[in-house]
This record gives sequence, structure tokens and C-alpha cells, in this order.
Amino acid sequence: MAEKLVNNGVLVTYYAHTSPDAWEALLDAGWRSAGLRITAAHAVVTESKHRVTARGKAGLDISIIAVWRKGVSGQVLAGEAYSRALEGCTEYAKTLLKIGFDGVNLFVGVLGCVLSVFTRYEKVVGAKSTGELVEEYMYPATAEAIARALGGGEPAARLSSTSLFYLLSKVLIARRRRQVRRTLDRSTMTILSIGTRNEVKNLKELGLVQQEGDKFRLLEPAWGQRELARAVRSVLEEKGINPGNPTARTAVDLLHVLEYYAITLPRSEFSKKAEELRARYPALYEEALGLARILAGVLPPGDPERELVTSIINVLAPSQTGLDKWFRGGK
Amino acid sequence: MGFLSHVKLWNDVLEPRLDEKAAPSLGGVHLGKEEPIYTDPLEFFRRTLVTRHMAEALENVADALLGRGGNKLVMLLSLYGGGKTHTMLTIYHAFRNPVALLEAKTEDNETRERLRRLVDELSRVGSVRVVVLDGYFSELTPTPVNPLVVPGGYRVQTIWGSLAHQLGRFGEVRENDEKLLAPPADVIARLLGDEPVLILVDELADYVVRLKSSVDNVLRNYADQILSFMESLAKAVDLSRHTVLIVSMPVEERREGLEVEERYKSQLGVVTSLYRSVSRVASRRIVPVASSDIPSILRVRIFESVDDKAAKALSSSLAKLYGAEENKELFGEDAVRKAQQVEKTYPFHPSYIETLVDILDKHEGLEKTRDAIKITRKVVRRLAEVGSPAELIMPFHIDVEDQEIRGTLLSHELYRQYATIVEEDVVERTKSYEKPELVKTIAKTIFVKTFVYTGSIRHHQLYPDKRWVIISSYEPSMARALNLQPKDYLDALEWASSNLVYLLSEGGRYWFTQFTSPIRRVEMTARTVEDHEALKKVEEYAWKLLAKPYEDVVSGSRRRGQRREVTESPFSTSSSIVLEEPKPIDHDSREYILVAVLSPIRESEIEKIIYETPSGGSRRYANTVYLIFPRDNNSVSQMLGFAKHLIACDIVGEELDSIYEDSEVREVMRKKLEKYCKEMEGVEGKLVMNILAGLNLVAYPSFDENSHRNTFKLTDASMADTIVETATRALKNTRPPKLYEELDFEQLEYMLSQAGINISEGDSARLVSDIVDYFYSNPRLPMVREETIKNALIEGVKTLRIGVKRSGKIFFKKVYECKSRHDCNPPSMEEVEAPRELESSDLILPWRMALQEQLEGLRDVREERVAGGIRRIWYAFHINGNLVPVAKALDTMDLDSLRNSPLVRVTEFIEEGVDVKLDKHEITASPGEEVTITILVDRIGGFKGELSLSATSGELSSSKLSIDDERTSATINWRIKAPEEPGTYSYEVKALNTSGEILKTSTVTIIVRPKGREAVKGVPPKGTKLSLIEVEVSGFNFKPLRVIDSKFGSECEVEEAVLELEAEIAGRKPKVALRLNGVALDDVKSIFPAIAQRYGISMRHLWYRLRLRPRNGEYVLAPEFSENEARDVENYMTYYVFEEG
Repeated sequence: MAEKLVNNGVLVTYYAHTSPDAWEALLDAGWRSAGLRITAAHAVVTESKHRVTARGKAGLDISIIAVWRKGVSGQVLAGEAYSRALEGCTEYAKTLLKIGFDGVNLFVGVLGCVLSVFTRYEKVVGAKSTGELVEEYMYPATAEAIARALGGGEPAARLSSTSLFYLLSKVLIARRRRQVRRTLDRSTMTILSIGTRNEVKNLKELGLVQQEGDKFRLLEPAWGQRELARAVRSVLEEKGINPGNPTARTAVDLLHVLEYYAITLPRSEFSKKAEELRARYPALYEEALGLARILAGVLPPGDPERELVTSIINVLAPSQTGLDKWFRGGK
Repeated sequence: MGFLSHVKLWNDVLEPRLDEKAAPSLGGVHLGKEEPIYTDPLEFFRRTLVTRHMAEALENVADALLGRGGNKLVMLLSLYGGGKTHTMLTIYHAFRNPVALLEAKTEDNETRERLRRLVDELSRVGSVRVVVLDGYFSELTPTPVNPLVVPGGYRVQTIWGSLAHQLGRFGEVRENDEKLLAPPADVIARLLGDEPVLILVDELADYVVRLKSSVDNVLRNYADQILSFMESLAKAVDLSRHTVLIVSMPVEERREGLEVEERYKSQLGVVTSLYRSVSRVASRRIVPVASSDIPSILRVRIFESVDDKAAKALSSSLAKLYGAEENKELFGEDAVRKAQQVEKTYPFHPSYIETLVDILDKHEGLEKTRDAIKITRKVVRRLAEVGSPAELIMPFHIDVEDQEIRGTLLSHELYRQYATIVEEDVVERTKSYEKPELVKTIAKTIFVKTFVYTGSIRHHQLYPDKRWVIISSYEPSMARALNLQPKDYLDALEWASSNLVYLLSEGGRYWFTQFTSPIRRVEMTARTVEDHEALKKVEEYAWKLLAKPYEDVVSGSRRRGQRREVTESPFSTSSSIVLEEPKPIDHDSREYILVAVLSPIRESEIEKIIYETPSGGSRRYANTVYLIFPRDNNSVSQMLGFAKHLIACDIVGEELDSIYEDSEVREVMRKKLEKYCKEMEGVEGKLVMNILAGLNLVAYPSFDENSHRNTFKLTDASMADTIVETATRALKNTRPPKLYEELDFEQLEYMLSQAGINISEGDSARLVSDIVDYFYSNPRLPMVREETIKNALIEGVKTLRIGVKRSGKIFFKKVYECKSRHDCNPPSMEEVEAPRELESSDLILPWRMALQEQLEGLRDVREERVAGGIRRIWYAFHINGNLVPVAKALDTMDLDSLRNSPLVRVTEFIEEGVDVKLDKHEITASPGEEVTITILVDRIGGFKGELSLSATSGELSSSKLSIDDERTSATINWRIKAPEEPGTYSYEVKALNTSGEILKTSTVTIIVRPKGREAVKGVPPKGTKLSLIEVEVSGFNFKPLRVIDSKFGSECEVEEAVLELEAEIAGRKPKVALRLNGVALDDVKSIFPAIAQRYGISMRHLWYRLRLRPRNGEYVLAPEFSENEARDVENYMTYYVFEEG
């Protein structure tokens, strides 16, 4: 196709697959093999939600429309491309927010922006494969740009794909009134899982979401609880985590355990418990803390998790501005 | 909803002026001088709780008056407004208006039932003369100084005169009255007569003590007469038929003796005598109100109604909260029981009652029930005035911030000093906590519970523990409004215990003291510490914190001694330094150092420190100095502030012995000081955290592409466990990162290329140490550890991008061993020979140079004679299954091809004899065409002798030859006529010795192509007779295959189909080669794409070729190709036209 494309021509791909691998294969084919760059991406409803052919399948009602052009050139270090993407796409995300983009539309739009930065180079040095590049640079840059646009200023710690999914679900999906937890429809679930390099099946197995028919419930601290402790205890119960002797499969699990401790244990006890978890899960612990930092900056005031994560970072990761509070808190 | 929504207040509670009338006097009521709420029996009973004891007293009086037994003499004993007067009033009103009694509140149904019965019985008693003798009223208890002058009549000056006057028989005791002489019992008995008489005597102790305290002997003697009168009165009542005497006494009978109210302690003898004078006659003792009655009394006196359902609901929700799994430890097991009590005490929290009782019990200036009501009226009124959302009335609602309440509680000289402490600690200091309202609440709770003990350490077992404090401070509506979690209460308590100056703790108990605290001294001393002294302290700690985790630095920290794995850092911790202020650094070596500067640095200074040496020269290793420093002076001021406090802590610690002489007090204060100064929660911890968090900006070397000069960049740093770790994380997380903890060769190569150094494609060899040096000296490059650079270089060798030369040896391509040319199967995946680790003196060669140098040494064939033959050692490339000797490969092939071809060393043992070598092994010919092959017969070892050659077909130019030292080889031509039939044919030629033994056999293959004209590339015109079709495609493109299948699948079969592909998966390079013969085209169409898709995006190279022949007959007719079909195949298709004959 690239050969047939005139120099100033535009190639448009409709992506309605449900697998993250296939999306990477498309990137690989278009960018690495054909030497095309993505200049924009949009989420467009291309199927009826009620179409007969979608019954019982994880098909997409929404397609990711990517616009490709010729003109890749030069090399760049992945880290440099990341910072360029962040710089440009945070502003872009703000613009999209201003004109009313949200949810999947916002995500795909920003993803397109990030991809346009990365794919303008013929080669991005520092990632061994497209998979590694999307997982460690492109998707985190998308998430960070969105998080920054929404007000989170802290640098994103190295977040795994499950943490990215949780973060994006939290910041992109609005909770409907009377819902105890955020719910993702099939398409949103699929696009967010593709855009964070997750398989829906794994996300279910790892206790990030619970499927209820066509919908997916994000396993987050419950809304509308009179006590915060109950809000987070309920999510631990849903995940089958015993706070007395917790085991964590993901940084999100650990985050919820830390939230529970932060809200129920006195400061000194909490610090002690956190140390134990840090020794048991050093990598997950750092990631959970990084996730907590970002969530504290971006979650809306009504979200119970905002206060939970703030309780964590006030004790475990006080920043310069928060330090005063931390001292006043008795340490 | 708050408690105010579930109760109805008595209107009078809202009137402050009635606070002082909270306890009406008997005399006042009798004389009609009190408020209507007390004088009107109905109103009175609506506000009265008739306790079981009171009901008992009423029953006793009714029985006695009805002549049914019962004690005619009743003593109401209690201290401090313990309900004596109220009981008197209850009896008083009950006899005046028995039915009104039904308005009274009761604690239980049984008492209510008793009241109902009482109403009947009291009504049956009929008219009763009630005599009131209240020591507070001269109209009822006159004295010679304050006589009762009966208008138009007589003058009464004694208590017995008053008795007679109220009974209308003054004349009978007139003389006794005038002479101040108590009448004897018989005279009194006469006075009482046979009609029912109820005599209520209240505040007699006050009356007698006043007289006894007089300087006038007459009055003192009169006082003695009163004692005598009371004894006589008691006897007279005992003798009477229908008289009941009720006397209140401000005493309590205890095992150890009689306890009297504080105000009478100086006149203990008088009160005791009074008590004895009455108690000589058998009497019934009644304690009208017990502590357990207080909640009910308060409820009745303050609230017109209380919603019991709300009480129950709150009790249950509190029990649930206290008992929740996560709160059990915090509130303790006993808390649930307390929550259940709420049902009875509502809207008061049980702790409110406990606190109030404690205050009234121990307070030197307050009276029990009377002040309980008074204080509670003030408390409730305040809450009502502000429309408080409180669900319960808590101890802290006895708010010492309120001047009125403070006045009530602290005006006594014993507690007066607390007024300043409340202001300083409870009001002011609590403001510095992150949740000021919470900690103030806690402080108030502890304060009201403990101030009555005046701060004595000896009472510390009586002080509240943390659970009591938390339960008593936790008010649900406040917790909700301030978004407080139960655990926040414990945090706040711990903070208060460390930071409030007058709050002490010992053995898990908390209380407010009036002693001057060591914290106050620390604060005062800290003001005298100089800045430079404090800066030294900060520096001392900063040095410790450079590489040691903060919890190991702080004394007594819980993790002290436990080692935690510290993040690896490229900084040399031994060379990193701390500076009080910026100055040039004497460092110019191959190690990264961190300079922690304890003051903000101007931008112009940053460059100097990073790039200049103390002598003013440029630092050669310009990428090695990194700075961490505070962004502004606020952080520095905070550090200095805590350092001053820490220094002051040491000074005060040494002075403790001289400050506190009492060893017990000293010990508590020492602990207080330690808690304030040491550990993570103390001043030391705060200093350490301030240093770590205050060093919040990192400056690092950088290169400005625009101005083309070395400069620096700044990045924010978030506190980590050590200063080095803080800087390391900041450099790693900055975008783009300055610090690379991991590096692959590709990144290394790219980074160096940015600095103008090409290590893989250039033509210069470089020392490893030079490459490492680039990183230390070039600010354009990132900060990378030497080991990481070396590992990346080794990866470069492994991917054949560079080679390494060490002492003449080249590390580059791996050489595989082959036992012979026929037994040579190197792996399809190319491997390399890389050194395990690099040495600084190793040379890094660009790959061409490395390959060239490696191959130069492998050109020659080496032969050595061994028993029975020779061992020949030679090197070759294994290309498409053939061995190409290195020398030939170098001459005929480019280095790119050779880099990826396996290199082998062939070690052959060759028996003595001859070798038969053909100039070609495969020939393509037309049917019947004659081809010629040149045979070279070569001697192996020392073979000598006659040979004969024999071929399976064709003609040899010579079939006999002789080999010897002079003629070691011979050349013979072999002519073969290709068969007429197209196909592949093999022919052998053998060399035999004179005994007929075969010394060597060689084979040639002749491929006979069908007849026809030259091969034609492209799409054949429709109807062309095709004898052979070939398709050859390079790249991931199976369209031609599909088109050919659709056109020829039914008429042709595949003579041969070959697929070759190469992929790259996680550093491996798998290769696939597949040859299919005699299969259907449809099979090829299924198999080849399936294999290709298996490797998908990992595929790096794909090539396939097909050769098709007509399934039947000698040709097929070319079908018509559409325009699209023609476009899809035209570049890949070749065909041969069938020629007749």
C-alpha cells in the first residue's frame, strides 16, 4: 500500500480488532515495514451496539481510525521521543478536553498524538520490539499526557500495563449516578485494554474488572459508603484479598491494600505494615506508590479513592509541598 | 441528624439566668420565692426523675403517716448537692398535690407502678400539715439576730419557735423561744399532736455551723441548743403517732467513718454532733441519688422528651463502628459495651457522664447533682444555640474554651493555673497539627477528664488510656464533617502527646499537668542557638544521610539496624560531599559524584561548580559532577529551625536533674523530652526528613545544541531514603532521562553517534577505556555506570556490530567445528564469540574491521601428515549448504553476506589416495545437449600408482592415469549427452586402483529443461502453450501464489517449491528452509503462507520459488489474466513456450 500511496497521500486504517497483538501488528506493518507515520487517530462508532453479529463476542462497536502518511525519517532515543510526546500531547489533551472530549474519544485522540510523535522517526532506539516500545513508552506517555492534562503533575513512575489500565479507567471513565463502581462497556473495555497492552481475560483474572454481561465493573473502592474503610474493604473482599495476610498479584492490588491500611491504621502502624509490604513486593510497592501519586493529582474530589491515595502519600511519599503537612501529621 | 433533632429541651434550659436556680431550695419553694417550674407541683414533677430511693422515701412517709409502720424519722444523706433537697421537694409536692406525682419521670416501670400506688395512698392520707425548716431562710429558721416577726403578733427567734409557729402553737414554746432554750421532747410531742404532720428539715448544718462560727457566745450557745432540740425532736417524732420527720445531712456514712462536705470540714465536730443528735433515735437512712442516677436526672432536668428510637439506633450504629474489624484494636473490646450504654445515657455519651461525675466528685468547688445540672445546662444550651449537628453530647462539649464553663471549672485556686495552659496548649498549639479541630477535641477531652487531679503524677492510674480518649473524642457527626477516620484519632493523640507541652503520658495514660514542661525549655533554649551552630548540625546530618537510609540515621528508630536494600546508584558515595554553601569542587576523575549544597545556588554558580576546578580550569571529566540543593531559603530555614531545637534538646536533657527534683516527675519529664526530641516522630526525625525533602532540586551537566556549549539542566527531586537515592531517582525519572541504569548496544551506539563517534560502522578502533571516558567527560551523554557501558559493548559483539581485540585475539564470529566437509552442520542461528567481560585495555573494532581481521588469519589451508593420511584444517563459510573457503569468500563475496554466514573450521582426515574433484556439480541442459565436465584427480598423501576412471555415463578423455611424486594430479574431460526427457539426472565418476578398489567417487547432476525458446518473464498471452512455469517472489507477498493457483492449479503440478525465511525473535534469528516436490499447488498455497504467518511481524526475510509442469501432456494453454491479476504476477512469473518436435 505504501508503494501505491502518492507522496502526499493519506492512508486511513479502520481498526476494530479486539487483540492488542493485532494492533501492534498494524503499527509494525504500517510504520516499521511500510515506512508510514500516523498523523492522527480517532475513535469512531462504526457498528451498531445491538447488531446481531456481536452477540456473545467481544467485538468493537468503535473503531480506531488511524491516519497515515509517508515521511518517516531519522532516529531518536525512546526516552527522548517520550519527553517530546509528553510535551506536545499534554497540550493536545488539554485542547481535546476543552472541546469536550472524554472517555475513549479522549484516549484515542491522545494516543494518536503520541503515535504521531513516535512514528515520525524511522527508528526509535532503546526498544527491542514494537511490543516493548508501546508497552514502555507509547502507552505510558499517553496515560501521562492525559493525567497531566487533567491536573496530575507528578512524573509517572514506571507503570505496568495493569496499572496503566486502572489509571486510565479511573481518569477517563465517569461514574454514573447511583453506580457504586465505574462500569466500562464492551468497546471501552476493549479499547482501553488494547491501549494498555492487556488482554481482557487477564484483566478479569487479575481482579481489575468484573464482567457482568456486556459490562465490566472496575474493581475500585466503592462509592457512596458512609465510611472510607468500608469502601476499600469491599474491593479487597471482591478481589479475595485478606487484609490480615494480603497477597498481591498486581500493583493495583497492593495499592488497595495500602489504602486499607492507610485509612484504618494509625500512622506508625501503617508505616510498619507498608515496610513489610515493601520488603515482600519491592517492585509492586514502588509502582503502587507511583500510581497513588498520580491518582492523588487527577481523581475528582468526590472519588473516595482520592482521599485514600492521599492518605497513603501523606505518610509514605510526602512531596516537598506535602512535607509541611506530614510534619504536622506528627512525623 | 444531630441529637437536637431527637430531643425537646425544657424552655428554661435556654435561659442562662436560671442556671443558678438549677437547684431550688426547699424554703424558697415553700415560701413561693422560687421559679414556677419549681413551685408548681405539675411543672416540678415534669422535670423530676423519681428514683427508686425517692419512691422508697415517699412510701415510707406514706406508711408512717397512715400508721402502717415505716420509719417516722428519715435521714437523707449525701454530699454536695446529691439530691437531698430535690427529694425533700418531691415529698413536699407529693403531699401537696399527689396526682401531680404522675407527671414525674421514672427509671423503670416498676418505679412508675409504685408511683401510681403512691398517688392513691397519699390521697388517702388526707390533710397533712407540712412544716419546713430550711436553714437558708430566716423566715423558716430564725435566729436571735434575724427573728421572724409575725405581723401584728409575736416575734420568733428559734427553730423550735418556728416549728411551733408553723403548727400554730407558738404560745406553747414562747418561753423556750425567748430564752433560747430547746424544749424537751414531751413539750414537742404535745406540739405535734395527733394530726398528720410532715416536718422537712434542710440545710440545718449550714444553719448550725453559721451560729457556731459566730463570735457571739449567745449565738454559739444557741447552736448547741439546736443540737439538743434536734435530738428531742427526733424522740418526740418517735413517740408521736402521725408525725414524720425528714432531715437532710451533708454526710456520707463510710466504712472508715463519716465523710462530710468539704465546706464543713473545718466544723466537722459540729456536723458530726448534729448527725449524732438525730441518729440517736432509730431512723431510716436514704441516699437519694447514686452516681448511676445522674444520666437519668440530667435527661429529665434538661430534656422535656428524648426519642428512645434514636437512642437505640445510635447505640447500635456506634456498636457496629466500635466493633468493626478494622476498629477493634483501636477502640478496644470494651467499646461495644459502652456503645450499648448509649441507649440509656442518650443523648449523653457515657464518657460525658463519667467525666462529669469525676469532675463533681473530685472538684473542690462544685456540688454533685446541682453542678452537674448547671454545667450540663450550659453545655446543652451552647450546642442548641449554634444548632450543633452533634449526635451525642461528649466530654469535650464541656468546652474549656468557653469562658463561662472555664470560669465554672477553673476558678478555684487549685485549678486557676490551668487557664493559661488551656490557652497555650489546647487552644494555640493544637493549631499546628494538620487536623487542628481533631487534636483540639482530643486535648479538651483529656483536659476535662484530668484537670481535677491537678496534674499529679501519683494519680496516673486514674487517668484515661488511649482507648478511653478515642472513644470519648469520637463523635460521629464531627468525624463525618471533618472526614475523620477512627485511626486519625490515634494519630492525633500521638501527636498531641509529643507536641503539647503540658500533656503527659505514662504507662499508656494521658493527663494534663501544671508542671513546667521540658518542651517549653527546649523552645526557649532553641531561640538562643546561633544559625552557624545550627548549620553545622544540619551538615552533620546531611553527611550521614548521603548514603545511609534516614531510619538508620535517626536514633531509636524502629528500623535501626535492619538493613534494607538500597537502590544502586552510579554515584561514588565515598567521593560525594556535603557543602554548607556552593564552592568549586576538587574532583576530576572517572567517577560520578553528588554534591549536596545546603543553600540555594544561583544559576551562574551551578555551571562553575559543575565544570570548573578550584584553580579555575575546566574539568576534563565534565559529566561527573551533579548537584542537589534546596530550591529556596524556606527549606533551609526549616532545617535550621529543627537543628536548633535538636541542639536545645541536648542542653535541656543535661539540665533535667536540676530542673525536676522529684525523681518520679523527672522520669516522666525525661520521657516527654525524649519523645519530643528523638525518633522519627521527634525533632531529630523532623530534621532528617526536612533535610531529605528540602534538597529538592538536582542540577546536572548538559549540552546546549543551540549555543553549542556545555550547560546544565535542573530537575525536581522527590524525597527518597538517602540523599544519593533522591538524586539518583530524579536523574532517572527526568524526561529525557539523564541516568540510564540499563543500556543496550543500539542505545549506546546512538548516544555515541550523537557525540560524533561511530563505533560500529567507522574505521577506527577504540579502547574500551576511551569509550567509557566519553561518558565521564561529555555532558551531552547520559550518566551511565562503567559496567553498564561494558555490558552494552558485549551485546554489540553478540549482535556482530562490533568486535573486540584483546592481545591479538579477535572476539567476533564464532567458529564452528566440522569433522569433514560432508559432516558439517553449523546451527542456522549465527552465534558469536564474545568475551565474558571487557577489560579497559580491550580494543573495540567496527564490525568490518573485526571481520576482516578475524578472517585474515583464517585464509590458509593447513595440512599435517598423520598416520595413514593427512589432517587438513581449513576455514570456510557455510553458505546454502556449501562450504566456501575463507580465501575464496573474501575474494568473491562482500563482508555483509559473510557477517551473517556461519564460519566453520573443517578438520578432515584424508586417507592416502586420490581426490576426484569436478569443476561443476550441477548443470542445466537442454534435451540431448552435450555437456563437458572437467575432472581433477589430485594426490592425497604419498599415494603412488596406476588408476583407472569409470563413469556411469558419457565419455572420459582418458580412463587410465598414473600418479607419483612427479605427477601429483591429472585433468580429464568428461562429456555427457543430456537425456531427451526433461528431468534431473545424476552421474558418477569413480577412481579405482589396480585392485579394483574404489578410491573416490564424485557425482554430477544434470537438470534437463524442456525444449522451448528462452525463458520469458511476465504474463503469457492467452492461448500460449506453456511447458514450464516458474514463480519467484522475495518478500511477504503471497498474492502471486494465489493468482497462479487460480489459473493453473487444476492443470499443473508442482515440480518443486522452495520457501526460505528468516525471522528475528528476542535476539534469536530462526531460519526456515522448505522444499516441496510433486505436490499440488493448493498444498503450497496453504503451507507457505501458514509458515510465514507463524513468524508474523518478527519476519525479516522471505523468499519462495515454484516450478510447475503440466499435469497431463506436454503443455497447458495460458488462460486470460485480468488486469489486476496480471499486475499481481507480472514481476514474478517466468514461462517457457512449448515447441513442437
